[in-house]
Amino acid sequence: MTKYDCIVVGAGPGGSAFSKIAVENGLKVLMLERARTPGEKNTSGSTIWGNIARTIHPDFPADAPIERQVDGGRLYFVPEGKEWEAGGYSMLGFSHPSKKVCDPLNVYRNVFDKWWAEQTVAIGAELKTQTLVTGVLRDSTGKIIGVIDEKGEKYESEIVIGADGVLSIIGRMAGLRPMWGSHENCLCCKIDWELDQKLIDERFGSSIEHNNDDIGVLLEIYFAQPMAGNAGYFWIFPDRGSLALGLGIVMNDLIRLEHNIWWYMWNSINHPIVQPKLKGGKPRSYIAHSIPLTNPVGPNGTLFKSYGDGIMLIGDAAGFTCPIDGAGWCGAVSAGKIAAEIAIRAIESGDTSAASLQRYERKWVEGDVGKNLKMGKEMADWLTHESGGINVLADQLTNDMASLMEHETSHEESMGGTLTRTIRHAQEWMALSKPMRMFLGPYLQLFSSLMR
Amino acid sequence: MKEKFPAEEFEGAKLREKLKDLVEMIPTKGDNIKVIEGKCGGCKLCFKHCPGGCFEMIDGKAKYSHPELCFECGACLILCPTGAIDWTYPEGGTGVILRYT
Repeated sequence: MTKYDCIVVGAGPGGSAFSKIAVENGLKVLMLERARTPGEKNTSGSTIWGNIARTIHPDFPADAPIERQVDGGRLYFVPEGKEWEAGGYSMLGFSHPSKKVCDPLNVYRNVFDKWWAEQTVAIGAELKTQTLVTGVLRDSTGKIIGVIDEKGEKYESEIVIGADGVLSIIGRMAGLRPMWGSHENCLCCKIDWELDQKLIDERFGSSIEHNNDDIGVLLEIYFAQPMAGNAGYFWIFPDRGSLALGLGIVMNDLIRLEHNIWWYMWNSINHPIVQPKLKGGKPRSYIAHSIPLTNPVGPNGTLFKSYGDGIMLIGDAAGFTCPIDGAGWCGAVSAGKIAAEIAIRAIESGDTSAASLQRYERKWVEGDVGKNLKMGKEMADWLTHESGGINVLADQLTNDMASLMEHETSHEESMGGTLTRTIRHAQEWMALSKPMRMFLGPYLQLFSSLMR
Repeated sequence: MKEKFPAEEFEGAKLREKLKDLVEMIPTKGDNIKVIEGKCGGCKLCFKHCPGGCFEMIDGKAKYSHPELCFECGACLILCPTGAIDWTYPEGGTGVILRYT
């Protein structure tokens, strides 16, 4: 039997990022993937970040299969009492200040994840697809020394990387985490909505031209009772010839709300604000999946440990998704890189025990992965629980915007007055909590620039 | 708030009818998920919330009888309050895929 330095279970964004760094540093790596090709089972909004991708592939995007450059977005808030009104919303536009800080790109994940894995295979990683891993192998001391697949084939390695998603068989078999409960999982469904690119450009275009003759696009996110029961959000992420329409709601809330995810999806795509934007197109495919919304860093966190004797967990398997929007790509790739650096040192030193791999947990907790999880959790709590944050925000913005519209034709001074009031409100919200400062910071900048 | 669509339109056979032409699937053996006999409490959560409409209620008990629309999302396993769902992924290389063509 070939013995590998590392076996990576799951060839998603985190698994391939880990493998790239590990192989570059001379490790022998095998990736095991249950699908026929990486990414073909993916359910996500499908926005990745170029700046994070460049931490793995410095020349990214090179020939990467990118659908659209994202230049900004629109957030829609539909307040109570105006749930089904075509004009009953407030909308905030935002643009991303620097590609270095945030460079979002929309992709088809079945195409992109395949490409992302191929870059790693090209430099020497092995990839075995159609292989469902069902258990871990242990030596007499209990240290994990490999994995076993459903056909009984065994694979041995110094370190096993659990990158096998939200339901992580590896993480549970290794005793690092339980199956997460209905309050820690979001149910997401997605429709790929075919639409002519001209119509997409008209409705979602940013008017900024990029070097491939394409204009960039704006993402849209909707917070509305009829669309997501105030317990999640509906999104539209434009690609070239289709829109990714998605919806995610926490499972506990679905039970409480007594409607299922497709009922909300139908409400969303038939909503008078959304419907005109989909006109002329049709659904091409449906898919659904769970997304973890756990709190791995908190005191009540249900990730027991992200490492063990001969094992580390990365990506959704470790619950590294943003607690506000559920996005997991950046967390998976960042954690994959950290885990690879730890694995390289551990194998060099000949010690792959838990004592050696515990540096992994320290490093991600102290780094961006941990910071984002902590900050996001505080903000998500405020928005969804404390005094119904999302409703407060929606009501206030709607009032401010309505007043702004009334004064649109009148003289500059009154418009300035309305904007000043909006900014004051924003500042009041920001004073409420630290997370709100993060959330509202970009909009405040936008309003301020409008005034100048 | 007025409701535009009746909830039943999105459950069981009616949901499967909506999904069937738009879900791409490499056929599975369909034996990777089971409702453990005697453990189902009849709460209907799997029936109602399974995004593929894979469950049926027969004599007040849930049955996983439509694997052809299973998204492998784990919602039934996560939602079941009595631990009655025996769950794993389908065989490697089979099951749901999202195709953009």
